[in-house]
This record gives sequence, C-alpha cells and structure tokens, in this order.
Amino acid sequence: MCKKLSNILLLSLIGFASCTQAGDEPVRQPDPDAPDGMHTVEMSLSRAAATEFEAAGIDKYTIYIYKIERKTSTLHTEKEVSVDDQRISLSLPLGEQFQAFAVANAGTVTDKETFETVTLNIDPFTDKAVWMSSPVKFASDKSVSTVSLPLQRVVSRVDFVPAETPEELSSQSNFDRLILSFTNAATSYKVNGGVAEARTITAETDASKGYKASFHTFETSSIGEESLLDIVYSKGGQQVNTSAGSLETGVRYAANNLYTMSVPVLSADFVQTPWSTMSRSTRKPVITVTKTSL
Amino acid sequence: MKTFFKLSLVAVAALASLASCKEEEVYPSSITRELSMTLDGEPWNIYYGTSNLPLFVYNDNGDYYANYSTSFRFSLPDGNYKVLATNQADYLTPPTNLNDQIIEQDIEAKKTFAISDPVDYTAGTSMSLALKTRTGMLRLRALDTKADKSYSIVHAIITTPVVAYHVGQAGPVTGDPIRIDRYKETAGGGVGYTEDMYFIGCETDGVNVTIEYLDADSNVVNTKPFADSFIVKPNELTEVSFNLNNTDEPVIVDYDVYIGQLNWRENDIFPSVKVDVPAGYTYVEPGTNLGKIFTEQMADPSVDEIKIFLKAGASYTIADKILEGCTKPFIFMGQKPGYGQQLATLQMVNITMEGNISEIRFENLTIKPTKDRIFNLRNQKFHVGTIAFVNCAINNWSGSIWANTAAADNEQIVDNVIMDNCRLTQLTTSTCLWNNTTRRIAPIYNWKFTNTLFHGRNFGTRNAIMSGLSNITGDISVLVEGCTFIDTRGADCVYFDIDGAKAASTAVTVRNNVVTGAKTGTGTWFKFGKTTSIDASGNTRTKGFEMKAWGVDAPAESDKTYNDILSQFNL
Repeated sequence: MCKKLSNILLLSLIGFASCTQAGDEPVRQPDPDAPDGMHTVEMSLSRAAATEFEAAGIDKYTIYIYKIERKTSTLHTEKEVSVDDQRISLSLPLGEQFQAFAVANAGTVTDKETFETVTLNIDPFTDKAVWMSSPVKFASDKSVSTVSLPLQRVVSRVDFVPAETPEELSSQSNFDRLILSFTNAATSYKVNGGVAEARTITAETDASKGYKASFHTFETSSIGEESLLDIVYSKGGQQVNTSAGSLETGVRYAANNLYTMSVPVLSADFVQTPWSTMSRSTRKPVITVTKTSL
Repeated sequence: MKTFFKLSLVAVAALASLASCKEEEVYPSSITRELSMTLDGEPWNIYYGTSNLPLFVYNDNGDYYANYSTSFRFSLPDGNYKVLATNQADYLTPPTNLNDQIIEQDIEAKKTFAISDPVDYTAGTSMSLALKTRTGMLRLRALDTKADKSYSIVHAIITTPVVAYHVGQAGPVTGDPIRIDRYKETAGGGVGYTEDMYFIGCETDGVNVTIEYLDADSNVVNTKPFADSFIVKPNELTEVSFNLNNTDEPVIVDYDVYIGQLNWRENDIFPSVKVDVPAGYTYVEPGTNLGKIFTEQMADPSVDEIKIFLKAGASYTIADKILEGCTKPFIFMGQKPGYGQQLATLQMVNITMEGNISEIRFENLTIKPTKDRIFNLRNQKFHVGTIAFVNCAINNWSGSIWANTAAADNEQIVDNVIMDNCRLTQLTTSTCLWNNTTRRIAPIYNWKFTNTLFHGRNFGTRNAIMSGLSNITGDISVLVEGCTFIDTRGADCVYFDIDGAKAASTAVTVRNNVVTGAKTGTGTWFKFGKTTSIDASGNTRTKGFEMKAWGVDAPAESDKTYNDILSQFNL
C-alpha cells in the first residue's frame, strides 16, 4: 500500500513538475511569409493523345477541385485546361481532403460553390457531347501520386428518323412540319449523385431536314420513368394532326448511348386521325339547278 | 509502520541471540531501531513482502557491507558507515565499492529510479534517508494537424552525454554520448506523434535529437536534426513540441486525364402507341412479376378465366412450378407488334392441368421453354376444350410441346389442338413434338396445323410432329393446311403418324403445304394406319426433292428450290 501511494505521489510529482523547458519554444516555427497557410501542391496533368480528344470533340476542359470539409465540400479550384497544355500546377494546402472532376463541353456550370450543388447544363441541340470524369477523392498528404480522370460521355444522343423513305415523305402533302416532344429527358445534371432534372425536350423539323431531328440529354436513370414521344403535325403553321397519344419508347436514357428512334409518321396506326380521312375533299358539293317545264 | 517494527522485535531478538551463540569472535553491535525515508520529499517505504531490499550499507571506506530490507530492524557492528536507499535495488551491483558504484543510462530510455545520497551513519542511531528521483522524462510531441503520408515510421535518435549516475558522488556521469533509438509507426502522417523517454537528469548537459522519416520499407526519406539540445532535469518533464511535417515543401500529384470510351453504344428504338389492352385482359407491364399475377388470379375465386396481355417486344418469365396444377382456363396474349417491334417473349415450362378447362391459349408470343417440355403431364386428370398456339414462334429448342402419361383411360382428354401461323425454327424433336400416350386412352380428337412453319435442325429418326392416335376412340380429325416443312438434316423420321386403329372415324385433310429438305430420299411425310378419309390436294415439293414415302399423293414438284424456301423465311 505504501509502495502504491509513493508511486502515485511519484507520478503526481512528475505531472505537477511539468516544466516544459523546450515545449514553449518549438523547434520550427511556420514560415511567416507563406500566404494564408497555403503551400504548393503541384498537380501536373498528362493528357491523352491529341487525336483522341479531337475525335471526342474536346479542345478544352475544366477541372473542378473541391475541398472536403465536415459538412460540405467547397470549391477550391476551377481551372480551364487546353488540351494543348502539357503541365498544369495547382496550389493546394498540405494534408487536406479533396474531390475533383473534369468536364468538357458543358454549356454552363451553375451552383458550383459546393460539390453538393454543382450542376451541369446543356443546350440539347448542340453538336458536342458533354464529357465528364467521375469525381475522385484524394488527400494532399503525399499518399497519392497520380489521380486518374477518365472522361466519359455523360449524355445520350437521340436521333429521330421517320420510317418512311425520303421519296415517300416528299410526296406527301399532309404536313410540312413536325414538332417532337420527348418527355423525361434532362438538360441539367447534378454532379453529386448523378441526379438529372426531368424536362421535356421539344424539337422541330421539316422537309429540309428530312423530318429528322437530334438532341442530347443527360442520362436519366435517376428520373426513373421512361421517355415518351408526342408528335404534332402542322401544315402552314396550323396543327393538323397529332400522334395517337404519347408514344412509348421504353427508354431511360443511359450515358454514351445513341438512340435512333424510328416512327412511321405516315402510318394510320400512329396518328390520332387517320390520314385517309383527312384526305377527303373539303370542297362543298356543286349544286346545279335546272329549270324545266312540265 | 511503527506497529510493524514493534512486532518484529521478537524476531530480531531471536536472531541476535543466535548470533550471540556463535563460537566466532563477537563484536559489539547496535540495533537500528528508527528508520525514516522520504521520496522526493514525501514519506516513503518499500512495500512489505517485496524481495527488493532498498537499504545499502557501506563501510566508511566505501567497501560494501550489506543490503537490507527496510521492513525489519537490523543490527550493525558498532562503527561508522555510509548508507543509502533506492527504490531500484537491482540497479546496484554489490559488492561494488561505493566510490565505484554507478547506474548506467538505460539504452532503451525506459527505466527510472530514485536513490538517496549516501549519508554518514553511526550504528544504533536513528537513520534518515531522502530518496530522490534521479531520472527525468523527455517528451517529443508533434503539433501537426496535417498529415504527410510520404513516411510511415518516425525514427527518433537521441544522444545523451550523461552515461550514468554515480551513486557514491550522487550525481550524473558524462562521457562519450550514448545513442538511444526509438521507432514509432504512424498511420496518420505524423499527426498525433508523441514519444516519451527517461534519461538520467543533468542540470548542465542536454540531449540532442534527430528525427528520421522512414517509409514502410524502413528507407529513410528525410532527416531533420533539432537545432538545440534539451536539458532533462531529474524528476521533471521536458516536453519538446514541434512540427514534424514541413508544409513549405511542394507536393507533386500527377493528374492523368484521358478519354474513356470513344464509341457510342447504338440502339434502335421503335416507339409504339400506348398499349391497347383488350377488354377483359390483365395488362402486365414489362418488369412486373408475371408469375405472381398468374398465381394470384389462379387462386382468386372471382376469376373464372385468366387472361393476360403482354407488351410487344418485352420479355417475361414464369418460373417453374407456377404453371403446374392449373384449374382454370388461361390465355397469354401478346400485343401485336407494331412498327419495328418484335413479339413479346415468354419463358415458361411444365404446364399441367386438373379438371375441366375450356381453353389454354398462347397468342402473339415468342415462347422460350426453359426445359424440354411445355405440357409435361403425369397422371393428371383433365378435360381441356382447346389448346392453341396462334402466331407464336419457338426457335432453337429441343423438346416436346406435349408429353403425357395417364393413370387410367379417358382421364386426359383434349378436344382441339390448334397450331396456326406459328414459326418453329431450328427445332430438334427426339420424341415427337406432340407425343400423345398410347398406353391409355387419352384422346386428342381434333388437330389443326395451319400456316405454320416446321423448320427442323434435327427431326430425329422417329416421329417428328404428331403421334399417339392409335388408342383413341371416338372421332378424330386432322387438318394440315398451308404449312411448310423444312428438314435441314435429311432426317429419316415420320412427320405425322396417324393411326385411328380404335377410332370411330379418322378424317385427314392435307392441303396446300410445301415440303422440302436438305437431302432427298429420306423421311416419311404421313404414315397412316387406319383412316376413314384422306383428302390431299395442292401440296408442293421443291425441285428435285423426294421423300422416302409421302403417305398421300406425292406433292407436285415446283420450280422453287430448297434455298428459295429458306430465303422466303429468312433462314
């Protein structure tokens, strides 16, 4: 018992007499000249062969780097990179967590202040597909030497094509314009979680385009419903017919998929009012009155 | 404590009396009765029962005399001595002379000890010893909050000039510096690093510290010496706080940006009008559990007939066992394919029936039997009005649509079998497509095969399309009209085995069919036993094609070839 008491006293003495001679004088002080505690973490980007980028329709892309904090991830760096650039240096503080992604050909990027809100937006009728790498998390603690950012198409492309031949279409006079509405497509895409915002994309086409139309949409797996197609037929600016209700495509748009949608636009099965009914003459019958004597 | 000394008097006295009986020369001695000890200023004694004997007695000239426990009184020959006490008696090495006795610095820097100065002592007088902790703690503590994972092990190298504690001189001994190595793994890139070590205290000479950063393979990736030395005083904690990680150093991370998949995945889509469900039918959307719906309707007493409507182009599956023991009529009808659409696909197997059932019908479907039987009957009892396959396709299948065994006569009855506008391609029939039992009277009275393609990968060497009429009583009728028969193998089979041996009448009509095959001269188209009437007309065969036997009037030879017929059906 005495031994234990003396040991406790001994330890208490050690704790009590914690005269930190050098503890008050750290060996190395932080550099007072370093700006805001930021220190250079260089990230050099190697690029794929120029031909691959060219084939993908990419001449530049933007890298977004978000610093992961306790409740959110805030934008740290937004850097546009030309595919011709060999090396890019970016300053990052040591020992932090980040997540980064690269995106090319997005129309606009909105709400980019946090990773949770950053949203890509596209013009569906642009020629260029949107490419994006899946967000990658890494730490600037020297545990990672290379961060890979493989760019993938994050959109689908839809090509609408009438089933009829050009000759059949040019010889018909039922309509001169088609207005195509595709539901459950998406022109806005939240990067965090790949969430698409459903909207209807409407395309107009006429004989000069062979009654064809094309558009891009973000992948819509998050929407959970198939895309429906409604067709409005117009002539001389007036609506003359519609599709027989919304046409079912059975499609939820998947990224990097090209959908060629073919509809027999002249088929009676696909229109609300059969064309043969509408082709009846609308002229009033001529009534001839002949006077005669009995 | 005092009580304990008193209780020991008898033992000590006994020892003393024994000693006084020795025949050796006896010196006058005195008993030490009073002993007080302190440790760093606080009363202290060793705990009772330990083998650690704290008290060391030396002659006045430093020669070692004895090592005593402090739990008992002891006697010393009269005279002057030098005495000391320590809480780590093992560190002393008697009979080393006091003037030579040292305690060396622990090379692991883990050991600590307290020891009093040697004091002059006259035997028999009261003894007072003040133990003092002679070691101090050096603590290295990293202040980093940011990790640097370029290293996995922190190697602290400490050199101290204090090589020992001189017991006789009650002070440190300096000499050639001793090196102490401490290794500590860090999974946090140095964050939270701390290391404690014990050194013999010295007021004047400090320890030097160098940090080596090692990777997981113990390779040195960096080395940083501390600029200053640190005094470690006895019984004190010297804490050295510092930044392990130098955030001024640039960290290089490479980004590799490349194109994933360049090519689009192409899909042809044929949008369709909304499914128009016929009245009275249950529409089953693609992706819905068809078997579950069928089972529910079979069990629902309000449902007299199960009518299921399926979407064109979609695929459906009914698991095994679901279609066993059917007691109601049922229809599986697919939506007629629109532009660009295919028939709905239905996977199913092993249909059995019980009781009176008006019809079992499959229409507008691609059927994919999951085993080699569609109707697989074993002694069930039933009377079915009509079994029909209309506008159905079966491709690349080996099996029988109908196979049955009956326990008794007239327990398995079908009034009508219909196959109309069907397309059976790459068919393999080892035991006949409609293989009706002849072991019992199991009547199938009326047969209609119309506008149907029978394309055989291998029709086998027995019966190919139908057999098993020989035990049927009553009236039998067989109509084969507008069908096409293509044998790709030259099988020596019998397409239709019709023997109304026990039937009241057997009327056969064979009209406007086309027959062809890859090899000529094999096979039998119709093999008749007893019949009442055979009406054959308008049948044709391809140019140069003959069968071993026709059974009816030989079909007229047309100008079309075998390949023409294959092309006609896109085969």
